Amino acid sequence: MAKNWQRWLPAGIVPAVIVAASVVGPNLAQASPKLPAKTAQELLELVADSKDSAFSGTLEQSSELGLPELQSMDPGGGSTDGPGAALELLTADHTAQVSIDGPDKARVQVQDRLGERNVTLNGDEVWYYDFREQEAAHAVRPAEVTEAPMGEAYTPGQIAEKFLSTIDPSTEITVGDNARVAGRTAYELVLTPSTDDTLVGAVSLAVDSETGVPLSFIIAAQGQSEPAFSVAFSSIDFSAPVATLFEFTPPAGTTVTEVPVKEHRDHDMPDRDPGTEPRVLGEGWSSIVALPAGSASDAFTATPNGEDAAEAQALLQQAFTQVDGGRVLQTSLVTVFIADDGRVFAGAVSADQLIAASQQ
Amino acid sequence: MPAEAVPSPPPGNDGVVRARPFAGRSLLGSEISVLFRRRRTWAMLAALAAIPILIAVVVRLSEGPEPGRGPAFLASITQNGLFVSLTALTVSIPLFLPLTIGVVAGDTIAGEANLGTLRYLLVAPTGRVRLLLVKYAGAAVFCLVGTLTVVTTGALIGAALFPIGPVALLSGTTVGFGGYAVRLLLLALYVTVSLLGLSAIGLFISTLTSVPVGAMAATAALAAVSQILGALPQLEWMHPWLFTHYWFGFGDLLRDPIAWQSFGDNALLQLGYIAVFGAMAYGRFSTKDILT
Repeated sequence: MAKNWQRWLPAGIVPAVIVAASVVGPNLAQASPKLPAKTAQELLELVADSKDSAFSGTLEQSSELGLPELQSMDPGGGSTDGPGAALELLTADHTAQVSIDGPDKARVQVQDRLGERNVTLNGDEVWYYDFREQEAAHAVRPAEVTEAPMGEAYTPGQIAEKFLSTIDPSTEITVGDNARVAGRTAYELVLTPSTDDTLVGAVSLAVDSETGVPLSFIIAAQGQSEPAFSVAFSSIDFSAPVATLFEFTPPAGTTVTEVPVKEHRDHDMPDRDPGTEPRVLGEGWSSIVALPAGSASDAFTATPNGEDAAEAQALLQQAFTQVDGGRVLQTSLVTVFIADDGRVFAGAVSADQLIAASQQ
Repeated sequence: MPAEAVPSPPPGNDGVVRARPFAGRSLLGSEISVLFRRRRTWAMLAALAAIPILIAVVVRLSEGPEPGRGPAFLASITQNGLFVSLTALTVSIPLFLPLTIGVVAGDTIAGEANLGTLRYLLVAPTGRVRLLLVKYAGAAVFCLVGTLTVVTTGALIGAALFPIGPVALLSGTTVGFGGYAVRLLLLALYVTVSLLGLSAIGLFISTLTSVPVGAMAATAALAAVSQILGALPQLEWMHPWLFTHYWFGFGDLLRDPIAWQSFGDNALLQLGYIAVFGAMAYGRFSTKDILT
């Protein structure tokens, strides 16, 4: 039986082929495509012109913030409400199906495992739906509000606009290497802070070369090779989504909450003592937001009231570490310092800078 | 080599497979009929059918569960009995389905070797390759039958104990019975495909031993190990390579529009496992000395 070794050949070759294909395949796709050169300004205009485009695609979000992952390990269960939900959205990885048809029709479906949370915008109607909790919320957008509400600031375009509106001279804007995102050729716009006093390394935005739709949005942190936060399309289709997708009717058995939208939010704010207003220290990337004494004292010391509050307190205590004079939450992008007197300092800076600011 | 001393059966011959396709089909037919005539197979199917029945009866006898707690879809059952299928699938995928697949796949070759029938199977003009293929096909058929058992029993018991009506999908869209039935079938297909990788692993382990219980236990244990590895965030780089990685991705078929991505990814992954462990099973089985 001299040929015995030959019968083992497939067992050696098949894994080798699979490994080779999985290593070579993605690298082939990464080759930088050739595109006519554009300036940063032209790219921004290209993005601004893409407001009316219609497309649908799959968006992948991932974060490496250095925080404990709060995603539930339970395959089917896990609560999606309460204070954990917001943190979970930021720290865990998500996949979302995004469908956009012009500025007035949008749908974002966060694809939880065996569940879904989605936001549907159709004209002036906004629906939020959570399958696991069997809850829905409905709101009517007031006529003068033109931007999308916060819940939809999820596509790269909307996030990018927010970012670009805060740009000041402390930022260098450059055009990076052309990239290939979701099978499309894309320009890359890179924003680099000119100061070293911030945790943000660079912010890059990939813009579809044809339509100007932003395809990916990545924040890199100082001294970390993996992106701290990344939202990118893994596939995108530039044909108009079917109109019925934007017509949401809550299914039977769902708890529906009507959310009143105030016409003039600013006037409804109660008059505040100037001493309790948040202050901004410094400017640009290294600016620090300071909240006055008493802002956070309750979060650690108060007896939790109800299950959600207990959950929030446990999360806080788990995430913060004790330092001299207070507690610090350190992530790769944002640091929060809570002084023992309840003052809160937060910013994209190191903990030392926050503590120094608290002592001034 | 000690093999020379033993009266060795004719080695696997691929030519026979091509020359007599009918023989392969009748072998598959007899394999499947033997599989489904065994009392053990029926006991396992009955155990699988008991899962949705148990869930439905417990929910019926107790207060309606609170949304967001317990296994997925549990809270929806009181609204719509058709959700029993989904809850039962969620509960059976991590343990009961892999366990039964482990029994069937682990028994494929080792069972025949243990009974002393493997020799006779190969003395008849049956190539070893074809025997492997037929055994694997039998295990795959059991995957489908097992999944369908859970799904259909769930729908039936749900319809018997609870009100039924148009079904709300994960996205909040409501579909009628026809649309839901199609999605349930797709779902059963998804879960069946998910289990094919495990079946291939079981087949390979089964060629290593003539003690079927060992192969069964090893296969079921591997399914558990893979799921534990998949739950450890420290091993994130490994997760997309685990055969259990997409096991709960079946929810993507219940969205509107259907997210096909995980179906494709899952099929590709399982195909990889079938190729690797199929090749290893071939390497082992075609060079093995068949003593019993």
